[in-house]
Order: sequence, then C-alpha cells, then structure tokens
Amino acid sequence: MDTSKGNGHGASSNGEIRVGVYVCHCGTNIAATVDVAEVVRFAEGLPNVAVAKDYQFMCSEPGQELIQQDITEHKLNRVVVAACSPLMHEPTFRRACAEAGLNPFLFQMANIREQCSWVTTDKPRATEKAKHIVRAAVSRVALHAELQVREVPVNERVLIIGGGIAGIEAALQIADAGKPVILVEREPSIGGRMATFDKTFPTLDCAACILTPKMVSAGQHRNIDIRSYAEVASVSGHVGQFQVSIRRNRRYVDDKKCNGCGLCYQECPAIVSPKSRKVSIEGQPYFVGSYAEGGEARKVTIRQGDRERRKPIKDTPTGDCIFCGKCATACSEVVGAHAIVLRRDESAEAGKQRSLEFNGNCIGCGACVRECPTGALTVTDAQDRQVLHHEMMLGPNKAIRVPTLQAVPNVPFIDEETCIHFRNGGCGHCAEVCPQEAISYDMEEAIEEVEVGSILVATGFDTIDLAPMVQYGWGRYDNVISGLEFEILCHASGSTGGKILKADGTPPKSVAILHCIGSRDEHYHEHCSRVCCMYSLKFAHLVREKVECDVYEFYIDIRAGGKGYEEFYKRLMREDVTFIRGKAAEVTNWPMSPEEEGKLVVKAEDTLLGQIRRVPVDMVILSPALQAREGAQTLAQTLGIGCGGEGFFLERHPKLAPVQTAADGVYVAGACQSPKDIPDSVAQGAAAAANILSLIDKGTFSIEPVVAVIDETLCGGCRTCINMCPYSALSADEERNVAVCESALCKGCGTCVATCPAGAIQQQGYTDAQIRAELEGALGRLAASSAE
Amino acid sequence: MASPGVPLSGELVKELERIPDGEKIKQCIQCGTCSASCPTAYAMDYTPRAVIAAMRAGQLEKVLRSDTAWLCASCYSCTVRCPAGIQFTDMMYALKRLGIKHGITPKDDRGQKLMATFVEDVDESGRSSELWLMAKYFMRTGPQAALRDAAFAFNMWRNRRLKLVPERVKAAEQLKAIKRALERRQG
Amino acid sequence: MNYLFYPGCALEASSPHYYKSCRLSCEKVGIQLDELEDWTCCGATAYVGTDEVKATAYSARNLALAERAGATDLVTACNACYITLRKSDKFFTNETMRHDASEALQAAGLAYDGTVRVRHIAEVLLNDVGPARIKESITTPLDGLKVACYHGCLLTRPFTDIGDPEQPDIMDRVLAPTGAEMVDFPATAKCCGGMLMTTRREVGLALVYEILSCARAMKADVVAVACPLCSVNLEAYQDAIGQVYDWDRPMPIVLFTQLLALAQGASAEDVGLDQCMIRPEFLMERFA
Repeated sequence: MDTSKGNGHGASSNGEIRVGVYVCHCGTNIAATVDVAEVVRFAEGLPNVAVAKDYQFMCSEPGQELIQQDITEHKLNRVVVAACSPLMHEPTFRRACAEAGLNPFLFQMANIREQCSWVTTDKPRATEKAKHIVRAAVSRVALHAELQVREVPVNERVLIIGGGIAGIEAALQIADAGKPVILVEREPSIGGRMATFDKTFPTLDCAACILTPKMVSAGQHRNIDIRSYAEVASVSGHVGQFQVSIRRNRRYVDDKKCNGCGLCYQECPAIVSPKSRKVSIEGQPYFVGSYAEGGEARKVTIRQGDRERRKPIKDTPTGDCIFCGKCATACSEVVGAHAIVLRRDESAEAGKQRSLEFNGNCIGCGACVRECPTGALTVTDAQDRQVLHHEMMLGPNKAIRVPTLQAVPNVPFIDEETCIHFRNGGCGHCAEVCPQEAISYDMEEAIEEVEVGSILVATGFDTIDLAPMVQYGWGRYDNVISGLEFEILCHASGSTGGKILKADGTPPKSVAILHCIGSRDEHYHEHCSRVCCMYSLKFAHLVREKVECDVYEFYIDIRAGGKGYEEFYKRLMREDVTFIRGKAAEVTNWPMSPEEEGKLVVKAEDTLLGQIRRVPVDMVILSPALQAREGAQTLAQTLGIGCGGEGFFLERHPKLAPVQTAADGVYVAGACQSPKDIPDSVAQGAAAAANILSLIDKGTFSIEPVVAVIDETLCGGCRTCINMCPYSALSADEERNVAVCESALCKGCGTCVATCPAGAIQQQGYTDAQIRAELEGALGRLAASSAE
Repeated sequence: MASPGVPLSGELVKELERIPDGEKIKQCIQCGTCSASCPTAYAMDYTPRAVIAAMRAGQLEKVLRSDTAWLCASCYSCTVRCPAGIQFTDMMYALKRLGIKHGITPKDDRGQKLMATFVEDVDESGRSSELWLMAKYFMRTGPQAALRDAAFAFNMWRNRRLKLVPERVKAAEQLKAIKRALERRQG
Repeated sequence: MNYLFYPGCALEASSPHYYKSCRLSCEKVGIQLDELEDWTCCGATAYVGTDEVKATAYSARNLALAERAGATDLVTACNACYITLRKSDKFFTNETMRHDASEALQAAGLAYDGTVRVRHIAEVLLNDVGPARIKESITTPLDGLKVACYHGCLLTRPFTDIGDPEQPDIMDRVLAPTGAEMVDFPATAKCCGGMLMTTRREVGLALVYEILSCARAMKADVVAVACPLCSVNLEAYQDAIGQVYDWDRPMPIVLFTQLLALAQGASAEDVGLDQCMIRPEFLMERFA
C-alpha cells in the first residue's frame, strides 16, 4: 500500500466535495436499535453527500468493496463510515480507501455503536442521535486535507539497559539475528540477581550452570558490546534514531588492557567493610579507628581475611607472635597509617623485650594481618561473630575485586571506600603488581555517545529495606537474614563455601522462613511479590539438604501457579517441612520458657487451628517484597515512559502489549515491569527481542500525521508550549525565535494547541475549523439541515 | 434481644463505617498477624482473625457470648501491624458496645462489670477512685477475688499510694448537664 | 515556660511520686506545670466500650476547659489519659461525632473548637526541651546504671506521629543525657495488660512476665516507665508472677522522671523512691 499519494480526488479539479456515507448494521448490534434506513435517508439530504448506503457488515470484504466501487463510480473524494469505534475498524477503512486511491485521511469514522446503539434501547432517540453523529462526521470530513504518513528509518543498533537474565536473553536473541547490541550494566559484571543464586526453583538446577554459559556467550558475542559499571545518563531523539549518553563510572582498571589475571585482588591488602572490625593480637582486642566512628554495632558486620583465610578464626593459631615487626612495617610503609609501633624494652626479661603498640591511626584495612607470618594477628568481628550474614560476598572481599569469579567482563574495579589509596593516598600495591599496567588511580568518569534505533529496559528489581520493620529483628538480632543473604550463604562461592551456618559458625538446628514480609501489606507494598512462595520452598529444600534441621514455613497462601510449581510444593511437604498457615507477626530474642533459651522465637497464629504459636528457632529467613529499582522514576522520565502506582515501569497494555511502552521504540522486560521469576523474565526478554527485530526488519517506522504544526509567522517564541509538552516533542529554534515540533515524538495530544497564546499551533486532523464543524454538526438542531 | 448473627454482622460493619478506615474490615486476608501480635489472643475463644471469619459466617452472636472482646487490652498492636489496614482495636470496642446494646452477656462478665462500675463511678463524681472502684467491683463479682487483692491494696496503702477519700469534681452540675443532654439524644 | 497539665486520676491517687518527680525534673529545665482547674476523668478505655459519644463528650470537657484557659498544649503524664484525650480530639474532626458531642458540651455551657494539642510529658521533654538542654541540667550522672525504658503500648499507638509504634525511643533519648546506659529493650512497647490485671489476673500476669523477662534478659538494673498504670501493673504483681513463672529476683520499677530528677541533683527522698513497691535500694543508697 502506498499511502503517500492520493488520486487527486482530495482537491477535485472543480473543488467539489463529494462525500459517500455508509451506515453499518453490525448485524443487530446497531440495526436493532437504530433505524438504519432512516439514517441513510437523512444522510442523503446532507450537504456534499453524493451517495449514502447501508450494509449488514461494512467491515466485511463486500462492505469494503462497496466503498471502493463507489469511490470510482461516484467520484467520491470523502468517505464517512457510520459504524463502530475507530479503535476497531478505522485502520480497515483507511486501508480500503487507500487501495481505491483515496488519501486515507479523507476518511472519517462515525461511532454509532459504542456511543449510540449500545447505550440505549430507545429506538427513536437512538436514531436521532445517530443522525447527529453522522452529520458531525459529514460536516468535518468536508474540511479534511490530504495528510501523509511519515516514515522514519530505524537504526539497527539496539540499546539494552540492564544485564540481568532478561537483558542477556534479549541481547543474545538480537545479536544472533545479526544486529548490534549495546548492553549497559550498572554493576561491574552482567548476570544480575540470578548470578547470586545458588539453585533455581522448581527444578533445582544450579543457577550458575545455566546462567554462566549465557553470560559468556554475551561477553564473547561479536554483536554485543558490554558497557559494565556504566549508566544511561540521557536519551534524546525518537524511535529509530535515539541519541544516548552512557556514563562510564570510574573503575580505575582499563578494560582494554586488563587480562583478568586476578593478581591485583590477590595482592590487595585491604579487606572490605572494616567498620565493626577489631584487630587482635594474642587475644587482646584493639578496635580499629572506624569502628568508633561508626558506632552502629547493630548494623555492621564483616568477614575476616582474604580468600585463603576465609575459614573460621578458631582454626588460625594465636599466641604465636614472634614480634618480627612485619605488621608494623606493612602499616607504615605499605599503608602509610603508622598505626602499629614495635617497641623494644631492653630492661625487660628475655623473650619479652619487644611489644606491639596500636594507636588510633588504624584505618582498619587489614594489611597487617596479611603480612603476619604466624597468624598471631587476626581481624575479627567486634562482637566475635564468625559469619556475618549481612556482609557476605561471592567474589574476593578486597578493595579491588570482581563481583564473582565468573564475572563478565572479567575486569576488576576499585571500591573507593575500602581502598587504602583512596583513604590516605598510600598503598598503590595493585598498580605495582599489575602486569598489564591496567590500573590507574586518576581515571575519570567518561561519557560515551551512541546512536541506537530502539531501547530495551530490563533493570530488574530491588528488595524492600527490612530495617524499618523492627518487629522482625533484621539488623538487630544475629541470624535473622534476608532471602538474598540466604542465597549468598548457600552459594558454593560464598564466604562459607555454601555451608549454612549461624553467626557463631555452627549449623542451625531449626530454621523459620517468613513469607510476605512487606508484600500484600498496605504499610509497604500492596502487591504480591510473586516469587517468594517458590523461593521460600527452595530455601526449605536447600536447608534440609545441607543441614539436619527442622524447617518451618510461615505463609498466608502458597501461590504456586507456574509450571511444575504445585508439584514442587507437594515435594516439600513430602520432605517434612512444617507449614504453618499464618503470617509471622514478630521475632523475639528473649526466652519465656527453657526451650526458648538462646533461640529466636517466631510468633504467629496457626490460623488453621486458631492457636497462637511461639516457635523457637536458630535462624530466621525473611522473604522481602520485590519493589521497583531505586531511580526507576528518573529513568522513566529520561525515556519518556511511565511508572505504575507501585513504581514499576508501565507497559503499553497489560495483556496485549506487555513489553511495549507508551514511547515508540522503547520496550520493557523482566522484573522492572512487575515482580517476575526467571522463566517469565526470559520469556519477556525474548518477546521484547522479537518486537525489536520486527521493527528493525521493517527498516522504517510509520508516524501518524496527527501531529502539531506550528505556523511560524504567528509564533512569538514565548516557549509556553515547550514546557507543557509531555513528550518533549517541542523545542526552541534559537536563531529564528520560534518553536519547532519533532513530529516523530509528537503524540498528537493537543496540549500545545490549547496552550499557545498566539493560536499559532494547529493539530493536523484536528484543526480548529474541523472541530468547529464537527461540533456544529453534532449540536445543531436536526431540522435546520435535514431535508424536511 | 438475641438477634440472629447475620443482622449483627451487618450492624457491626455499619458501626465500623463511621470510623476512618472502618470499611477495610472487608479486606481481611485471614493472615493472622492481628492474632499473633495480640498479647492476649492465646486466651481468647475467638482469636482476632477468627472474629472476622465468624462475622463473615454470620456467627457474631457466638463471638459476643465469648470472652474475646473483653480480653482486648486495647494496645493497638493488631491495628498498627494489620497488612490490610483494618482498625481492629476499634472493632473490639464496637463489639463491646454491640454486646451491651443487645443485652448479650459474655460467658465471663467480669470485664463488663468492671467497666460498668467504672462508668457509674465517674458519672457520679467526675473522677475515678481506684479504691472505691475495686470495692464496688468486688461486691459484684464475689469476695474471693477481693481477699486476693487485699494484699495489693495493703501494699499500695503502705507506700502511700492509695487515697481513701475519693476526689470529686466541683462543677458537678456541668457533668449532670452533659449526661442529661446525652440521654435526651438517645431518647 | 509554662504548660497546662492534666494529671488524671491515677497520677493523682496511686502515683504521687510520679507527679512529684515530674514537677521536679521539669523545673530543672525551666518548665512549670500548671494543673488544669477542676479536670474530670478522661474516661480511660471504659467509656469507649459503652458509648463513643459519651466518652468523647466527657473527655472533651477537659479539652474545652484547656481551650478556655487559652492553652495550646495540654500535657499529661499518663499513657491512657494521653491516648483517650487525643482520641476525643480526633473524634472532633468527624462531623457527626462533633455534632453530638458539642451538643452535650453546650448543655454544660462549654464548647470545644479543636485547637488544643494533647501531649505526653516524655515527648515534651524530648522535643521542646531537647537532649542538649537536659544534658545541661545534669549534675549527678547515673553512670553505670542500666535502664530498660518501657514505653508501653499507648504512647505511640495508634498515633504514631511522636515515635515508632514498634520500638519507640522517646524515653531513651530523654534519659540518655543522664549518663545511664539504655539497654536494648525489644519489649518496650508490649502491653502491660491494663485492666486485665483485675478482671483476668492470669492473663495480666503473663503479659507483665513477658516484659519483665525481657528486661532481665537484657540485663537491666531498673525498668523506667512513663505511665502510672504501667507502673502499678509492672511492680505490684511480681510476687504473684513468682508463683506462676520462673521469677525470683524482683525488678525495680521507677518512673523515668525519678531517674531524670536524680541525675539533676534531687535526692532519693525528693523523688519518692521510697514509694516504689520494689525499692531500688542501690539507687536509694547512692542518692540518700
């Protein structure tokens, strides 16, 4: 179909307007209530009408052919179809007109079904109303002008924001089709949440085993450019031609030089999260400087040592200090903190001549521990915890590190907060040992400009902050941990090597899993987070697989609606997990009876019994609500898309356009649109890829001509319209001092038309004259123009 | 008296609609957070959650005959935690009022009696006097409990924490006027 | 600074040491409490259970008197009075309730326009005086004393605007400048049982035992309270608790204003420590 040309009928040689009016019966939908024949008779008498007819189903093939024949036969240059809503069949009739050589915008739909026959049973009055509606259409269509659909070319390059499983899936699909993808990831590695999971429900296959092949494929794909540790700073342009600024954060490691050998993090002396740490020598604790500053003993925790030392401290020998002074040397010369002084006391008895002195200069980096040859010096948690659930990580816990050893790209980054160099200007060890000379401490933030034709947003989810829900004790009691913390605890690459341990380093004998923490709750999130039931079941399985342990699930409803999910639930019942139907109301840590001594007590109503239960356990796992990413609103504004009430990105249609958005060329996939599990995220990623490939394959995007046009001779350059435009389609031409409209961005909402104080803006297809004519037709008394 | 349960449920909902967020009672998901947050639910015949279930089943009269509402200590734990935003504590008060209005005596009527005594006391003098409140209350519920509480009273007296002569409000006329106006309102 | 003060029946009768120490500690930070003339009982929890309008009208009589006295704030030291007066004030925002209650007040020649803010003394000390000024008033710090601050249920429930409904720390912040150590006290907002101690003794005892056992587990020397009703329930029945539960070491219960006044230089006698049913002997010796 070529819609760019008309047949010349639009402005016939003698300027005569010839309208054809077609009234549809729609079976009985219209004809039962509206006297169709009467409407046809009425239409015949209207000005400019050359022919008026009725038909059973105008949208059928014969119905369309009827119009097309008349266009030729009666030399029609305007067509009105009185039938259903334009949302249903306007495209059908426009196409029919175009095929007959008439510019499709010389067609007008009159809705006598949804707005007339369906809303009353009063036949005479319905017929009268139908006449008004038809007359409105006839009088407006006379003023229609030929309009042209604009085709914009589509750049093949695709931007994907977010390198989780949804983004990776989409990237691979698009790249495999031969199209270039830029994958922007905020974290230093792609992989997203899934990379932190040990197993996946309901099949219990290892998350890494199924994810890492995809991560590696994405990393190696010649059509995929990964920008990790980077964010989208701004977006301009429109579908087919977006200009995007990508901000690349300071990584301090040049990804072009780095070969991923890992020497830097092996050699780095600075251990992550020193806040609650104490250095101790021969059992004497010395609190490190930053501990006193922080003073938040409730909230902070750490894990000792580098990878080799990642084992319970009890195993490391103590009492073996030989006063060699290596620690003091490291502290002064490597770190530059001068916090340890080796003293010589000549008068003391043999073997005690030397002593170590710690002072307040300590920054808690842990370099001394690394240098100690005897293990006499240790760094431990200030509260002597062996496992610090809130602070575990999957990669090396050094200031320079990779998030996991399977990171893609396998390029480390420096965490400025922990790095000795960034704290006091000292150290510099990693740069010295790097064989590639890839590390530079003065690396600046970089902005990269790219052009893409479409954008996929797949930024995933956050979990709700558990600290404000004090009744559950997270951050207050040891051994109350969040779902994501449990994933890392359970993970083979985690700090405990996948062993499920309490803070004191021993395995729990009983574990409670609390569902719906912050979900289905007016005070936090009204929505169901959808994945918690299933991962909570998975947790129960993993706990029982690894530890001899009682497991209690406190639930409101088990929502197991996916494939194989209900079966998984049944399986867990067979595995002797105790299900208690009741939401846990609180967790306490003081005993009310001897069996509660030293335990956490979960209080809930067993609603099936109507009894209040106090269940003493060793560990509590909370299943926190999934929520929109922090910053989702800002990103939505950048992209011109919307956010729903709960903050998740809004799809164009919840059922029929789930991965499209209000902005043409911008798509969403995965948990950033609403809580989703892995199968659904992957499905959406693939769906979005298909949408994008179809756009690319077509090569152009058709833009409706129902847009604002500015009469530059009337525009005074006041810019009122620019501020009002919700789609950023208007901008100022500084030189000519007028407003200009980018029609590819204009959605034809008409806000600017109404705003313009000079009346300089008109909207094509909705000009003031057309609207006035339509109103006159609709509102005027019938007698005035009908053939009486 | 003794209305069947179903109209009682309707009456309760109506009563609750007068308070802000009262209509949320309809959105209960029966999670039991209220019951487990309630310090006294373990002793109730119907846990707070079960009260709503009973209301839905048209069995409120049974609830009113039980000791449930009178075990509510009005600590608002249920109200602040309810994920559906139900004003449960206010509903417990509404249940107490409903029982009194329909002349339904709960199986353990001590709470109802203490409340009635308190109200009479304050109605009369404008102030509550612990000693006289207890004395009257024990006359109504039996002397055994009074003996049990003699030690308490002695302890209070010994520590100079018991007033033998009750305080009275000077503007007794004002109180009477308020009371009369309220009685007129109720017809 | 002067505040209009509503003592309430319990403070007046059963907790004179609270009233006394309240005045003392307030004076030290420049606050004078003027008692509301001829106040009536707030109605406690009993009236609402019989007749909401009556409850509102009776208790609003006090608000009307305060308004007539030109006060913007009416301060109370009892959690039950605090919540009851606040509820009445809130009910005045409801059209029908205000209409009915106003009618009753009018009959007594009174009116309430809803301009009085009901406040609790602990919150006044925290927000109007503030820790800095409290710190300045401290002369004999309570170093070494471990205090569990028991807020009770009604101070921050259901009105949560002055503190967290689960774990309020109003008293902790008021008492922190005294130098005493505020122990972590998860049971701080559990309910003391109120009237249940009279009507259902076994239930009341269980509630108090939960609070006291928490204080014991957190190794507190004393429990500080901010309500005369909580005070009586927590201290008067510890013998009875010992007969049912594992409870053999009585826990002294003090009013938080007693501790504050002691730290401000008052003596044990001044603040009425001898009126505590479980006497904090160590404090009485220290501040003899």
